[in-house]
Amino acid sequence: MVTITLKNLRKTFGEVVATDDVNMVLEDGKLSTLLGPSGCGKTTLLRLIAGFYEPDHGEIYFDDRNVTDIPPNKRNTGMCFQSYALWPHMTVFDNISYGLKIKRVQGMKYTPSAIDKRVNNALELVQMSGLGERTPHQLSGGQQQRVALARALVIEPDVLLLDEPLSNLDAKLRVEMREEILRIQGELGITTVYVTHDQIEALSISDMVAVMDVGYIQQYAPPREIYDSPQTLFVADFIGKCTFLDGEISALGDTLSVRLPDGQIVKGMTPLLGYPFQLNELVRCAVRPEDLHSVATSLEDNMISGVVNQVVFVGSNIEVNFNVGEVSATSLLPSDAELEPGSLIKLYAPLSQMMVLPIGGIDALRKIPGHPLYASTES
Amino acid sequence: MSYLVRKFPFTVRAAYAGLQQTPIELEEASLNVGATRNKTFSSIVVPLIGVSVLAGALLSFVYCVSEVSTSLLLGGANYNDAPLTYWIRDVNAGLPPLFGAGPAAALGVLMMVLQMIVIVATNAILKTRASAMTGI
Ligand SMILES: Nc1ncnc2c1ncn2[C@@H]1O[C@H](COP(=O)(O)OP(=O)(O)OP(=O)(O)O)[C@@H](O)[C@H]1O
Ligand SMILES: [Mg+2]
Repeated sequence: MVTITLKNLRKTFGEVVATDDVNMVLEDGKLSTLLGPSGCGKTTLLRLIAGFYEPDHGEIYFDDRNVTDIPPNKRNTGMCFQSYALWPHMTVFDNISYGLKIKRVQGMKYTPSAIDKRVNNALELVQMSGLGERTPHQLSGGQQQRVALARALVIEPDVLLLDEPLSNLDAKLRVEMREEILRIQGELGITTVYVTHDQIEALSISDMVAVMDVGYIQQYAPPREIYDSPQTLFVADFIGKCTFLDGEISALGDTLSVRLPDGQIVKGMTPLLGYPFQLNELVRCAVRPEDLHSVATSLEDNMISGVVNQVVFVGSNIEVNFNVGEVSATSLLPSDAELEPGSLIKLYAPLSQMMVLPIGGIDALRKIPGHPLYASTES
Repeated sequence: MSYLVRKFPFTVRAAYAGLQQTPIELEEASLNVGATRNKTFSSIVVPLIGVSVLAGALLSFVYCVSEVSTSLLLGGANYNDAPLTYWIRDVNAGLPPLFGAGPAAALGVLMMVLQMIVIVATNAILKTRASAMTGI
């Protein structure tokens, strides 16, 4: 199995920068997800790894082997296309066996009976036994998706590339197939790159998550770290809910003080270590709804006061929308809290949960020594 | 030769349309599981566009058979290679091997029948392909 290293990759289509400044190491046997909104460059990055696109510059390594100039059929990757790309003139069985018939193990072909066995195993794996003689157009979207998955897995690739492989399945089957992919991936130890725009899916199955926006990797870290310490405002907003409070830095230090427009001062920490904050710099404080409490847990806690706007019952909790000056904020409180729209509310946020982030996004990351984006200022 | 030049575009168009209809991913999926470009061409590209090419070729054939203008121009020079239309004119004009309006009309009917068969066959092939792709 292989470790994939991407060095300084860039791919443009005419004027469109599809992906740029990609530096990441996808470790051997790990499942990494590319997560981001539509059009952020996930498929492009996956296709670069598969070899269907040539990068404008940069290199791709499988272990120590530079595969940048190696054609796709020599890379031994198994790709599951976003559009499935099943061959319409072949049966399901032939779609899956096609790669096996070509594959040589130490120069030897698979025997017809070995092929039979493997294809049937693959079909069983994706819960499609008995449907081998159908043609793709006789299958539902979800079934086609599973055939595409079986076709990619059956050749036992070094690298598994999955482009939204579960997007067309119903909720129950999606969870089942997700478990299945995890199990197969774990058992075979295939280095896997998994593309999705579903954050729950990404957080729950990945060893590492790369959050992408407009072609750039915003953060590449384990799921917990992505959630607990988002490095950019985009990540904070995209992963889970966040309330954002704009302000200016009024004091520097390990804890940063931020003056909100209505004069309140909140204190917080930054998850972005090494970023050179400056006095009076415009910043944004991000806080998760579940970190805004109705009682203080320590004397140091921030107190934020606002006016209740709306109270929504969401089962185990109530979601309170309130206004801090002009800004609307959200808090998740125990459902026994009694609040009326229009009433004043005081909430407390621990220092450590008040995340102070620079406005710049990617440009802010470039100012951090040691960050993968630091040296590579726009050329 | 002359037929080839005049009707070749039909075949090319059909092949081209077939290529355009075939998503690039279908070829990439083949490369991805290890197939060479040649193997991909013969196992994926040709079966998928082959039918359109065949249909185009058959249509060209129909046009060739009934081609009047070229026939009249070239038929005189090379009697044996001349197509039906040239014969029809000959027969009508009373030249050997047959003569008179009757046989000429018979040949005309034969030509129509031949064309109809080919057109029906072409349509049938195109339909199967269309249904194989769309499931209708
Ligand atoms: N072949 C192409 N020619 C021109 N532009 C392209 C091409 N492929 C992708 N793009 C552009 O590159 C950007 C990234 O596209 P990409 O397909 O990688 O997005 P994605 O993250 O996979 O989106 P989605 O979640 O919708 O699949 C988009 O702006 C897209 O319009
Ligand atoms: Mg995509």
